[in-house]
Amino acid sequence: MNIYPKELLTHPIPLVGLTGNPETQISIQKKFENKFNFVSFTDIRPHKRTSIQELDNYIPGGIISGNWLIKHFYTYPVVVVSCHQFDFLNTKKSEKDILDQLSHLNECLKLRNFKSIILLVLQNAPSGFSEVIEEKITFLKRKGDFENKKGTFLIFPQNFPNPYYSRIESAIRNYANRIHKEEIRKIKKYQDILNRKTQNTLIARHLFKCGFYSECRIDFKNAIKYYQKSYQEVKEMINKKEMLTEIKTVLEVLNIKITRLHFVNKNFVEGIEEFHKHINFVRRINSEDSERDFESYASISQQYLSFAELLEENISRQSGIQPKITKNIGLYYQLAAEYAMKRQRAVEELLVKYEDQLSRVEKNFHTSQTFHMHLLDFPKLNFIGQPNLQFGFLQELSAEKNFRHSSQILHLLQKAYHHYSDQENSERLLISLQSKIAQQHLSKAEYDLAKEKFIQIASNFRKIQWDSLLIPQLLNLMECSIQTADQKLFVDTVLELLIPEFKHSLAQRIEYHEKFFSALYEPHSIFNKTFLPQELIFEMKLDTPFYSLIETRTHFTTTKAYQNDTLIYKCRFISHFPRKIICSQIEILFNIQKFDISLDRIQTLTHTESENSEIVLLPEQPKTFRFSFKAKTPSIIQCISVKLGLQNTKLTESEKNFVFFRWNPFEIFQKESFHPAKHPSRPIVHIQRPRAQMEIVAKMQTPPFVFEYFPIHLRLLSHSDHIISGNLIPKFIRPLGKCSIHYQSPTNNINSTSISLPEILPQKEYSIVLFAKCNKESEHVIRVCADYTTANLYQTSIQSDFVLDFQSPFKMDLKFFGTEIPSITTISRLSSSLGPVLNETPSLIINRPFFLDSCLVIDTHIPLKISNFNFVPNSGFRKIFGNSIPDEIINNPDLIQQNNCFSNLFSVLPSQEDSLQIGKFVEIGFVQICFSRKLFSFQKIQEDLGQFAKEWKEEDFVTKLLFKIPSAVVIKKDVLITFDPPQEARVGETLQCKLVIQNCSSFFHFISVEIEKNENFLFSGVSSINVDILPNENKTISYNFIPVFQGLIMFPLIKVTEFLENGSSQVFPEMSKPNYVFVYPPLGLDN
Amino acid sequence: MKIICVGIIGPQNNPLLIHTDFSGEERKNIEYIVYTALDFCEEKIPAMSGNKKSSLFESYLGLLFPTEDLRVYGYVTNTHHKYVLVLDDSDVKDVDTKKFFVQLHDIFIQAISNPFYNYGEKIESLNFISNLKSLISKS
Repeated sequence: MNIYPKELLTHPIPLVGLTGNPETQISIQKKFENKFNFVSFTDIRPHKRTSIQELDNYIPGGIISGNWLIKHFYTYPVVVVSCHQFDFLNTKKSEKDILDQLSHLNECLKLRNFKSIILLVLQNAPSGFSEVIEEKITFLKRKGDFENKKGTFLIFPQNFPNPYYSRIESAIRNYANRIHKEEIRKIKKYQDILNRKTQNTLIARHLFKCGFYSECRIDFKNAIKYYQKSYQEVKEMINKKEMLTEIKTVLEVLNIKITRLHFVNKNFVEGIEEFHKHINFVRRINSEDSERDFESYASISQQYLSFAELLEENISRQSGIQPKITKNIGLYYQLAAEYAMKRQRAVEELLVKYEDQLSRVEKNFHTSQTFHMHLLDFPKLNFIGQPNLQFGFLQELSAEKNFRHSSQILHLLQKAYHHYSDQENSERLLISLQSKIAQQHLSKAEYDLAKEKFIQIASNFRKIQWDSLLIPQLLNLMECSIQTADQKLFVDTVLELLIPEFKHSLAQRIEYHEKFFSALYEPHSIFNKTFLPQELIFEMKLDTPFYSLIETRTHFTTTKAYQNDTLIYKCRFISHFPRKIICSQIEILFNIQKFDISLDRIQTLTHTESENSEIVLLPEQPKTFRFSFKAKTPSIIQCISVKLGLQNTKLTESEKNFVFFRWNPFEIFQKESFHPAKHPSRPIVHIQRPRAQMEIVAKMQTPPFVFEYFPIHLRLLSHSDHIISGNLIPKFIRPLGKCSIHYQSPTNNINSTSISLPEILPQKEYSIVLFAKCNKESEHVIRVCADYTTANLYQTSIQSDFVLDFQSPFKMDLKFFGTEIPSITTISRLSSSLGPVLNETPSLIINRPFFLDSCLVIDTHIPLKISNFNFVPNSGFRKIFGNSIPDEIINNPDLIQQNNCFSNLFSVLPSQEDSLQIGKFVEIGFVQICFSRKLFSFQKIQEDLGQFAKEWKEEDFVTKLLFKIPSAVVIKKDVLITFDPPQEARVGETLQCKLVIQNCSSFFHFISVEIEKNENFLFSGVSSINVDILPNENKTISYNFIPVFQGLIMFPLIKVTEFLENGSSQVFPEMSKPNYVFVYPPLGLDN
Repeated sequence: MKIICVGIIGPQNNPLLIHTDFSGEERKNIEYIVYTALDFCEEKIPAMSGNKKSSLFESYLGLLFPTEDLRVYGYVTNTHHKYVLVLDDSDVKDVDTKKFFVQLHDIFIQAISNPFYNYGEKIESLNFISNLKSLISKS
């Protein structure tokens, strides 16, 4: 309510004039400080008595008289207390003083109507002489022509004890009431002669005065009555458009007075009803010009706020009042906030409409009047009046532009939230308020706060699937995630927005897609940290042990600005120190080097706002700090340093400074000359300082393998005379694939393109380990750049290059056994679990055939998963499935085309050799079936197929990639024998076993099978047999064994011998291993 | 009575239908009013069921709360579906709002009896919406 002059709203109390003995005056003033207003009474100006004739046809300039209020508050007392000391040892002097005062009062009384109290404090009074004192007073009254109706004499003993004060108070109160009553009577007399149609301004004014006097008399019932009558009179004048603002303001004032008096009388229901009637009336008053709606909204918002404050003030005094919905103070704060929001929206629309006009005339507005500021002219004008705006509507709009809408709305919403949070069953109401609060945080660019709230609200709406309320929260969340560069949140939010349950229009859906892809994949996207000037991590240069314990983040909302624009600069401090740190000083320094601007020039950047001069950093709690400043000249800010002074008594004086540096180029252009096309990129200036040098020495393992992180040991040697600190930026030059560099500090891992270095002392060195990874076999250059800053803000950079030849981490050998048949098999599309491996590499061409039962051996240094082999057919090949060749595939070339690839997953661990028996597990590619008796024996051939080179051309740059073509092992097994004896048996029960002989080759084989005698079993079957097996034929031999003994007993050995063509024989070693079977006792004997 | 919005809320307080002619920011504000009305529904339901001992459960919740220029009425079904009716601030008799809710309940039962409607999902039946519109225009 501080927008109203206090004379309009304060509860009036009688004004008392004090004169005479200063000590007595002071003691009276102290005692009755809250009950009366006091003024020093010296002289009084003549009072112009209003005659009834003068009021005939008189129309005042305004409704409430300002002079009249000022007069009653500060100038003319209704009671004058004249303090005197009556010394009985010097009666003549005392009498003379009193008589002089009485004659002065008599003179003043002729000019104005007031009452006098003559206060006599006796000194040296003889005891028991009260009759003498009575006589003295009678004498003084007669001599001074002081009649009883003019006032009274109060006599007090010398010590002036406390009980006598009540006499003074009752005398003052009595006289003041009498005077005010007389005034009311006089005013009522005027009322009868006034014209109710033409002089309603005067009638309203008189009724206001009566209310005022009644309030002074503490007659609140009548005061309410007079104010209500006055309100009605003013209400009837509402059609006078020329004084609409004044009428609305007077109605506001009267309503506040009435409501307050109801509350003082504890009539809360009446007070609230009165306000509701008033606000309903005010809301229906429409201004002529719809563009001035923001004024109405501002006024209504202000009235809700005033009422809420009034209610809060009075309810807090009265306990036991149940806050129902109409009585809940939160409701009025909420409504005040809603109207403030309407006002903000109306103003925003107008600002768009009148942007050009406003920018042309705005410089002429030397002063801006915000809402209700015209009330400050109230005493000068003698009435409230209409706001006098020289430039009219645009001036008001300009004032609205500068008004901090969001701050006010946020304040109101937070008050409403606070009041509602005490109420039961208000969970959803609080959520809806929170959503509005978050919206305001967003418009105030307090993104972290907004984000936190939106996440909370969105989760709530998501839970109950209230999509239409969830979508706005998600959109806001998307905005917050962009502003805070929170990539994960952004992706999550957009993906949620794109789910089909949200029935967006096609245009909206396309918009979300575009936002999504542009934010993630555009080179200048905020999420691409390489091109992210807004989100930069501060370097630190500190002189205290806490140097590594505070992180700072900062960003500009833009990288370019016009001169005289307000720039907002944000710092975000995070303390990792386990105790509270208080930073008592904060200072921002600008350094401009581009134009060699002198210090005088630097001072043209004025620091205009610092919201807080002290920062308290709690452990792990981020604190955001905001500055705004203006640049008066076009310039480039290349370095902004933030200096913090640490307030910690345990530190010595020299340890008290924290200084943070940031290299942050920021251009400021002249408004007239700037054209974006002329400044396509931001210039960065490197200044070489010979005295500040740093060497980078690197040591690393060579050669590194692709996909593997390998360490790069960096040593930074400082040859500077100063302490330096800076940024280390390692990067790949000519990267052909995905490359990344990680930085490992002693305490944590940071994956960042820029590494903040701690301070390096003069002539000292700093070691750091970087971990780099590349997924491309090639020769790469790693460039490590260091931009560093010395203590005197000089900046420079150095760089060092390392040439690295990345080699493939795996080697694949294709070994084969069999005939050498000229044919071509192609393998392509190898991929690994780390991503696509060979999809950009050339196809692997193996000039050897795969045979049935081939074995592909892969030797690797990394975990490797091969997911897809692709065999390209040609006319010389056919495809074989397993051990048999389906005729339909052999005879049908189309089916061969369709089945030309197989899918299988197998993985190989590093430094291990694993093999895939292709013929056994998978459908193999194309082999040529050969029948040849010449190569009958087992033969192993291993061959390295050499290297393959391929060139890429990117613009003018040619890269040559060498790729080792793997060799493969192909193992050909001509005969496979399978014998799988059972593991368990029972005495007396038959065991059936099968021996399968499989000819996998294209040759004829002659096999002999012989079973050794064994006493453990009764045996039925052929104990010795010779078998001829044709190519690709299977033979199965069945045996029956009946165990005789129980326990773990050995199976009979089976000897399988192959007779070769040259007469020799070959025993299959796998069959010579003994097999065991566990034989249970016969049934019924288990126990 | 001038109906601003009709909201049908499921037993889990999930919206099944919010019918209003407003769009954009105004619609959002009205939805917030419907959402907030659930606080008042929850406040009234246990009190009513307690008084009437559940068998005589009174569905009509009456005036939930007045806002500055709107009045919000509530109704709850036996299956804990809640109907929220937002009216302008003109004087309305309780009989009229009660009658409206009963009729709304009838057409709602018809709508959820549709074998193609999955219980608990949003009501998108055009037939239901046209019935609702005609009900609104009659009142």
